Amino acid sequence: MTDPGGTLSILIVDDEEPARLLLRELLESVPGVRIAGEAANGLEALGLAARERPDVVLLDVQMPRMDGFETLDLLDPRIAVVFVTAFDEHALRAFEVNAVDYLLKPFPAARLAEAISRARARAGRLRDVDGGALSAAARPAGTYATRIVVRDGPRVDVLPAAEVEYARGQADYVELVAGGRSCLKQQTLQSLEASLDPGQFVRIHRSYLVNLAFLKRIEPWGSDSRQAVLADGTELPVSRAGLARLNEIFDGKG
Amino acid sequence: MHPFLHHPRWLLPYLGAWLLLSMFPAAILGPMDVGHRLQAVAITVLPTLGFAVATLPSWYLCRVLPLDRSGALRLATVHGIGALCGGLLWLGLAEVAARGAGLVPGWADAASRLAGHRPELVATGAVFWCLVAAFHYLLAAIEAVHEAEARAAVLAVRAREAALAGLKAQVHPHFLFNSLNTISALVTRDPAGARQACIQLADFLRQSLRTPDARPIPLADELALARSYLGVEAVRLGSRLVVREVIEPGCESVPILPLVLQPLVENAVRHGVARIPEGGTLGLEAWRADGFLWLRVTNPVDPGSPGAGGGGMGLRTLRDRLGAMYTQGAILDARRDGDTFRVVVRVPLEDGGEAT
Repeated sequence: MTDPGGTLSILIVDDEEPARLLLRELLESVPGVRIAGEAANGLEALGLAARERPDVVLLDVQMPRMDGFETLDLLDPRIAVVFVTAFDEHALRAFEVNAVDYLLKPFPAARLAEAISRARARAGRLRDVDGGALSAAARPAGTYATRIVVRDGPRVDVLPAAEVEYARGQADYVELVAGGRSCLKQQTLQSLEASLDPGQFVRIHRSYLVNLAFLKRIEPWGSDSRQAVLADGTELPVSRAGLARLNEIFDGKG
Repeated sequence: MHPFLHHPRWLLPYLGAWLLLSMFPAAILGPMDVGHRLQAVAITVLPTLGFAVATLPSWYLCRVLPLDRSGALRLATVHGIGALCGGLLWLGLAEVAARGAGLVPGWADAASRLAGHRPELVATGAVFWCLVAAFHYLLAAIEAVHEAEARAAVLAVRAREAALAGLKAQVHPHFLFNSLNTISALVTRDPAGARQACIQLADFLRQSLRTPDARPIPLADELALARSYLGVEAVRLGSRLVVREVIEPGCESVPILPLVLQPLVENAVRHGVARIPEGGTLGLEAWRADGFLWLRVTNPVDPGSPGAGGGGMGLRTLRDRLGAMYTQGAILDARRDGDTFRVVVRVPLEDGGEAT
């Protein structure tokens, strides 16, 4: 990382080679920038970002295996991100709603320079947008995330949403439990909840989101409380509001 | 219009049936030795046939009073009055016939044959009226079935037209802007390549935007469209996209519904090859066997990805279009087999696709 006003290091992420070449070429004429590297997909981008610690990532949205939004979630929050996309009305709406900078392919050099100078002005500040919110806004109504990308040290895992038993919110992190294993992800429980199918994942407590497929029963706990018991015997607290939400779902399903 | 006006040939069997029916009133008239029996038949045949023709206009009455949509009371009233009039008409015609028969030498007593049988004869006429009405309702039902069939055929044609209206190759905006971006990237470092990419994109757009035509086109044209699409994507995806074509010689001239191949190829790129970081091989095959043209498009699917690995919506539309266009034998089979997605389309070689 460099001080503002100094050289800005930039990571280019796009699965199409011509698109990467174009960014590289256009960046050559932008003063005060240095290309830290090029990545052809999200995984490569995360590895490079960890090693090169760039100030800005130019991030394509539609990429194989891990899209731009999922990549954003696992990127160091100090790195500024400028999305680059060809055309995706859903993504555009998400950008507008979340005030994220983006470039529409094909773009003129001046537009790229503008985005870079905005990123420079932001350098050093933490990003305040998360990929979960972007994906949620970009998703067509009625469709939900089917996978969750998590980082476990240097490893990146793609968890099918259906396999997640429950999630526990801890401040800015969520702990995801799947198949007896748990992993942490930097995301709020609200944002995770918003991205998942509300018919499958229910917020049973301020800090717990449970997958109904793994819920075995609700039983009394103490004098006037309830707790949820999962298939593997895990017991989770159920709040008054959580019980109301569960009842609503079960009533709705008849 | 009365159905007999459309089909005059039906009149003959109709009258034949009435000829047989005329034996019933003849049987009513006694006494019944052989001479009188002949006389009775002579008296009843002509009135019966006359009645059968004279009551044909009741067809219109039956049309105005359909069985299923008219009240029972109304039906009973109208047809009750009709039966009474019919009975009297029949008796009147029989009276005339009896008088006429009385003029025949040796049949002087024919004129008095009706005496004492008039109530039964009126009742017979009433039954005849009901038979005519029943016959007309039967005709109306048959006509309704034919109309329904014709309407269904018209609807099928409309559905087909609708399917064809959406026939222009869908140029996905994402594809278009990505291609323009590729060209923008090539302009400085590879001007010749940029020009080539422009031409390929223009080729594809031109073929996609041409006026849709319901008529089958030679497979060669479909291949050309698919190839120009793949040409544009090849520039964008570079070495990630490998195309393996196996086209049996002679297949190119087989007529096929337009825009069958290109959407399959586009699916294979969008949902298959482009979703795999290292890319893969897209297979495109065509051959003839058992009186059918077979097309097979295969693409690798990202091992980790869930689902069928193909564009469900596009395949459904294509299946509907094939069903609407080919009268029989056209199939579309799409399945994921491990990490390969394959779509097989089979269309009859003979059925030119012009279902009428």
